[in-house]
Amino acid sequence: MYLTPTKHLHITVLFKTRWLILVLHSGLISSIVRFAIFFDTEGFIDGTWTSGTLMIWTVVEPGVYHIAVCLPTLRSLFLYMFKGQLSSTVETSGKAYGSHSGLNETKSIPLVTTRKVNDSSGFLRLENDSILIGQKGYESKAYGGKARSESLQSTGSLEFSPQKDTAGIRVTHDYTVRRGLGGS
Amino acid sequence: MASMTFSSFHHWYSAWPSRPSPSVSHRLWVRIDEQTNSVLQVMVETGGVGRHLPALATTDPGAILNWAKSLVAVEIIYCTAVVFPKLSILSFYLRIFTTKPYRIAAYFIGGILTANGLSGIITSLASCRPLAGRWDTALVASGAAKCINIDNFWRWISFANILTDVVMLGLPLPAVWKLHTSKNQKIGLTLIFLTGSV
Repeated sequence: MYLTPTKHLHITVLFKTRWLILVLHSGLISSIVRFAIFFDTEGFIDGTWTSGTLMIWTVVEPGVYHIAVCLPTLRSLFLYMFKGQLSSTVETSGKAYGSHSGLNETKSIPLVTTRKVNDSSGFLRLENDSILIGQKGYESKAYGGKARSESLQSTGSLEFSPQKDTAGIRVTHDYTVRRGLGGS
Repeated sequence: MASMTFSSFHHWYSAWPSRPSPSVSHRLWVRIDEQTNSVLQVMVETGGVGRHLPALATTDPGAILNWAKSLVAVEIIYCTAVVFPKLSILSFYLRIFTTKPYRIAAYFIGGILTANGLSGIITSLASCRPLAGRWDTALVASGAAKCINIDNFWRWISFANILTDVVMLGLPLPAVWKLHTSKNQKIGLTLIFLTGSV
């Protein structure tokens, strides 16, 4: 699957925002709860007594939004806390075809390598995550130990096969990147 | 809550594309954050919140006055506190969305949020004419002050928040549908965004 740089950036950021979406849901839930509780309560009959419940939910609602907004900046902390556990697995599989000039024989050799890449590369701002894989063929640097490779995670596998034809040998590479720590 | 307002304002502000150096805005935020206190704490400590109104009327009538006054403060701060985190999320969206309709939608929701916050503050300040009617029951009883139904104001002020929440959750969906992925993956992604499940 080939993704244009913009599309890829979209996927990257969209997946990074999964937790944000999650907390945004809790924001929605808390505002619905607040709405319901305010309908259920007469605010001015024994006002100082009911204010306790009402005001708690009035504080909870902006509080949950606030948490949602603050989470991105805590990313580096989480990466630090789960050092070593957060890792990406890069699987390379492919085939090499070679043909002898005399024998006209095609031999295919399966190439499978697995490499673990640590995610905890320090503080990463969101705007730095716009690593674009597949921009020009491929750059294996894109996988070099950076957290950004996790952008490929939930698409299951993102495969692209840059093909090279050199001296009768053709090598196909499929890259599969999976993120550790139970991410889908 | 007030500190939440300002720190989320800070986030919203620093997430904006053209901003002064982060250290300046950060220092500003910390300064404001230090100087603000939770109104809820004030309400419990001086407003007698958590005790029954008849009991307060005999033991500590001044607390009722403080409570009624701090309600006006809570209304104003709540309206502000809800707007800024959501503006922050929207500015985050604006970084992602490059297509014009999405950007317009994001700005539109931001406009609704700001308008709702402003209208809440204005309603709070104009809830009683004169405003002293909010805590001076004698004014209301004698007809010198006229008030709106404050219960209903409290109920409906958060309604726009629920609506904008739903729209904000649905906003990334068209972008997902445009991705060049299989139908099953699109359905899966849609479910992730709709249910918030990991």
